[in-house]
Amino acid sequence: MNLSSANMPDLIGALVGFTLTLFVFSYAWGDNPFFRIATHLFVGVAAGYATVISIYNIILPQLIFPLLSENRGEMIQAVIYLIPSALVLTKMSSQLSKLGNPSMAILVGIGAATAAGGAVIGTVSPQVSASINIFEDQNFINAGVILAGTLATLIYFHFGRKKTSDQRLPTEQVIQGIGWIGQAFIAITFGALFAGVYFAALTALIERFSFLWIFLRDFLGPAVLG
Amino acid sequence: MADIHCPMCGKSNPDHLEVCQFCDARLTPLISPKSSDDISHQKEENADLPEWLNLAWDANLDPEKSPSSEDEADAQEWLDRIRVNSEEDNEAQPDTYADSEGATPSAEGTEWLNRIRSLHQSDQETQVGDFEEKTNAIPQSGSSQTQDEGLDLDGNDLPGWLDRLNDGQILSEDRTTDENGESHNGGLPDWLDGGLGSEEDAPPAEGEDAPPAEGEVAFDFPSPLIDDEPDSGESKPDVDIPDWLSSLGMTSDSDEILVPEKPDSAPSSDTISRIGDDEIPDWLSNMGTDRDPDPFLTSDEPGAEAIPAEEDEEIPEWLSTLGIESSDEAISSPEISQAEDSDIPDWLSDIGIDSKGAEATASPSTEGDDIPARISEMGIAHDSAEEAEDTEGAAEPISQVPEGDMPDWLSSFGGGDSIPGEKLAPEIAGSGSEQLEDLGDWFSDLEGVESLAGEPTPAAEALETDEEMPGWLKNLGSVVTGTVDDDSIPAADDHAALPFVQDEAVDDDLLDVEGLPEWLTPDSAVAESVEGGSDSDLTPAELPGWLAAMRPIDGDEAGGALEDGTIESAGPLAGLRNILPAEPEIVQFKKPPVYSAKLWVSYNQQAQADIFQELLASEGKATTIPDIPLVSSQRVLRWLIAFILMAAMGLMVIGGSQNVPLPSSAAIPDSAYAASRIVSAIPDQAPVLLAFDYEPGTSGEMQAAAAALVDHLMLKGARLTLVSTLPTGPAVGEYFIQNIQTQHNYTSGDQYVNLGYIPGGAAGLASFVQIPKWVFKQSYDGMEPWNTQPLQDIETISDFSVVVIITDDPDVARTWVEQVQPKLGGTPLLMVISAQAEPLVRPYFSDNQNAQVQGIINGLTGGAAYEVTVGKTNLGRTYWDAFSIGLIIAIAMVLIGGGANVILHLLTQSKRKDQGVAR
Repeated sequence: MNLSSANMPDLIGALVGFTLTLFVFSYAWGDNPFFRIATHLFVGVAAGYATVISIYNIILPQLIFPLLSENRGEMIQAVIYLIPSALVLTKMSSQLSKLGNPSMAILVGIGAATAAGGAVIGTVSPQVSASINIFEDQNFINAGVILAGTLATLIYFHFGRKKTSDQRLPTEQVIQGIGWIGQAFIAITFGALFAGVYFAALTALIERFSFLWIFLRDFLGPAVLG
Repeated sequence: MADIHCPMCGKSNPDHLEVCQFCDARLTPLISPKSSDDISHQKEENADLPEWLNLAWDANLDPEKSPSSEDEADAQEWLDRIRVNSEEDNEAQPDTYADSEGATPSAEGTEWLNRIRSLHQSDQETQVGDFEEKTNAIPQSGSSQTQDEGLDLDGNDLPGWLDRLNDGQILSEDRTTDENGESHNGGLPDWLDGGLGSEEDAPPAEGEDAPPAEGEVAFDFPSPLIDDEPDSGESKPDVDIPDWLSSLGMTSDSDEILVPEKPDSAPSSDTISRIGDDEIPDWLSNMGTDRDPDPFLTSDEPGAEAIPAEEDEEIPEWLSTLGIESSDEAISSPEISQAEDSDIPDWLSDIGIDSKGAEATASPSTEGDDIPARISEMGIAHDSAEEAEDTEGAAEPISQVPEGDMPDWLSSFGGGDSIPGEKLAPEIAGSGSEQLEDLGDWFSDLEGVESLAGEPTPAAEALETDEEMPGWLKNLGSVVTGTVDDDSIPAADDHAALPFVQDEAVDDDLLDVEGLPEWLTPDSAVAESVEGGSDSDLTPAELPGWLAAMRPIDGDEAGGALEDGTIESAGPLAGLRNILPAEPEIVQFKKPPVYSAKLWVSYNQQAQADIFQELLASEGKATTIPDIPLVSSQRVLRWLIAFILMAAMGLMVIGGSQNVPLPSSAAIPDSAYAASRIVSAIPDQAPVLLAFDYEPGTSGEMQAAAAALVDHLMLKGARLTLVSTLPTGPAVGEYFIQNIQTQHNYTSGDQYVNLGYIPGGAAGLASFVQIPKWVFKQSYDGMEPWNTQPLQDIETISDFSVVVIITDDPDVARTWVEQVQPKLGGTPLLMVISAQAEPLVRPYFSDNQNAQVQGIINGLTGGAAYEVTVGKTNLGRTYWDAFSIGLIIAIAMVLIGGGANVILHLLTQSKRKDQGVAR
């Protein structure tokens, strides 16, 4: 990005970005108003942007414009969409909230059914088949580790009740040992996730430092250095 | 048929019934009359009795058998002798009156006279009425008016003197004066008349001695003698035995048919009418006056008023209770005093003088010497001095009664005068004890009373030594004398102690004087009665201590008593000693005790109370938050880490260092290779769907990760269609195309189209997959997308050559995989994901063709690797040095921090061990 060739809105945007970036970095000295201003500003801008996107990308093109169009079919479709959508708005009133229940039921039902169906079709079945076919690649080590890690992790989440506090069955000891292995896999997974977070944060930091440097170099450099 | 009234319910029943047909009460007594054997046995026992008495007894057994005239003559004869002997004895013993001890002759006379009256009253009644009805009739009969009426109804046979005896008053109106101007007493003997004459203004003729007419003898026994006297049914005896005597015999023999005793009843007019005035001995007349203290005699009766008023104070209480009223004026009556001094026999003196005291005995006598004034006092009550003066005329004839008129045995009966022995039947003369042995059953009861007498009194001795007195009468006299002399039994109880009481409930032991308590002994009673008297011969009895304490005292006595105890000086109990001192206790007050207000609690309770108090006190105080120091170990460490990272990153970025080599081809992950192969495999200007589903916050990483891939697509001239399931996604995608890949000069609507936001989450995504045109009516920038170049020939999602999902959220990546990948068909799905989402998206990747995700580029590492595969540097390379330094610093900090924690832990363990060993 070259700020020297940027227009005024881009410069203002870059300046705001630079300032807010410094505000966020101020958190290194603890919680401070600059950090809070930055966070609140981000949340507010995001919400506002989402609202604008919803209005301009959803409500107007999906509900309003079809009603005003000359196409009767789109008009009827818009009316069909409009009625349950309007009933959802009644949920804001405690007295009329029951009117929005059918619309909410449709939304929740359809969303749950879609998620459940997608999870079964897109996650469970493929993952089960992939685990079954893990040894097809002749990479037995990886396959063995994956199998061991999967079983150990599942066994770790075995919640059985002891018959007595003093007596322990041998099976329980085996399950407990395998569970411990599964716990190790879980710990490695969380470590990988944390490392990924660190990588993401480190990349964001680098990007911010790069932005700052570019901003300083391209905006303040000519102004300061001439 | 005669009816029998039930004694219980009062209803009439046929006379043949024994049980009341209404209430089942028994109509006839359970005890049948004596059998013939009993009668014969009784006759044998009565063999020693006088003949006339046996006849009377026989008559009683057989009411239809009337005594013969001879028997009546014999009885009259000995009675005459009795009178003569009594008069002689009175002359021989003129003044034993004063020495006699107090007795209760009046009470006695009253009792047995009342019982005689009740006896004759029962004669008239053929049926036994209700007891209450009779008792209700008693007060009526007690009134003088009623009695007078009764006397009038009785006819002419009732002697006037007996009328007076019966109704308790001296019938002055009966004293009539005959044509010769002589005063007649209606047949009343002179000596008796004297006793009665103290009342009225009709003085009898002096020296007149009117013997009782033969065959008409009326005698009043003491009430106990006739207490249980049965109803004889005879109204007029025809034999020599007087009615009263025959009644006496019947009473003794027929105990079984006792008539319920009435406290008092109107005098039987039949009985009284049979008593002739001439036949009544003088002593009996005097005795008749003694019955004045009739309990039913009211004070306003003439008879009561005739009693000297002075005796009211002097007479003992037992006599006062009998209704005798007296006055001070009567005490000073000289006539009475003279009579007392001279003519009163000892036995009469015993009757009343003891209670009267020395003052009465010392009063001057104005009466004649023959008649004991005491008798007149006992029979007559005076309320005023005028009435007392009237007694002078009545006293005169009494004084003229010769002493011989009073039989000795009767004298002994009253005060110790003896009856001449030659005038008595020889077989009954002798000692009292011997006489008792000869008596029948009805007299044998006298033994109990004799024992009551205790030591023989002078009167009793005189009676015992009198040989002429009939035995049975001597015993009677001794009994009465003993009762009087001993004065042990109150007058009200005399009738209960007298012999003819056949009540088995009366125990002889109860009559034993010796067995009585000391305070109930005759001696104590006599002593109490004579206390305060001036008689020097009498030693004052000693009162019990408790009784003396209760006696109100005043003056010096009170002062003396103070020495022994506290004497109440005020209030209704003034003068009493040793009473509970109420006032001082009330007045005296003590200082109220002071109790400690301190609460006694245990140590634990006190500790808990303190804690609770502190807790309550702390509630009102604001807790002070300790100030956080600006410089602390954590803050310094945080600053240090931040400084190190910023410094390293800054230096790398500012320096633009690209010295750190990118990952080698061997180190490039398969996912990156797979993605590069797929992109490389797509045709040019192929439609590619790019989903920018990451937040602006992660745009730095996502841009570095996706820059190489998107650059590769643009190099291929792919027609890009931008979508996003996040509201901010369209803006992020637009920024990425316009700012990151500026070198490709992609314009909206030509090379790419930004459809914008796909609402509805998974459902919206599924809808987008099914019919993309229904979801997006217009593009992000407001144009119709489906007519643009990038979306030409695109009807479904599978029409895209490659679908690239750029996301930092594993869930979004999974949604795309779940909702879109199954609909893609043969279209490969590539994932550009954040480094933090790689572990969760990695399982969807596979190298084979059937994998859900056919290529993954994860973070900066993946982007740098993808650049390696493409052979074109991009943001990955720009950030790689800084990223590498940052990884090194991170690893160093992890190692340093981990090593420091291990060292600190070891130090802590060693310190604990040292402390444990030291302990």
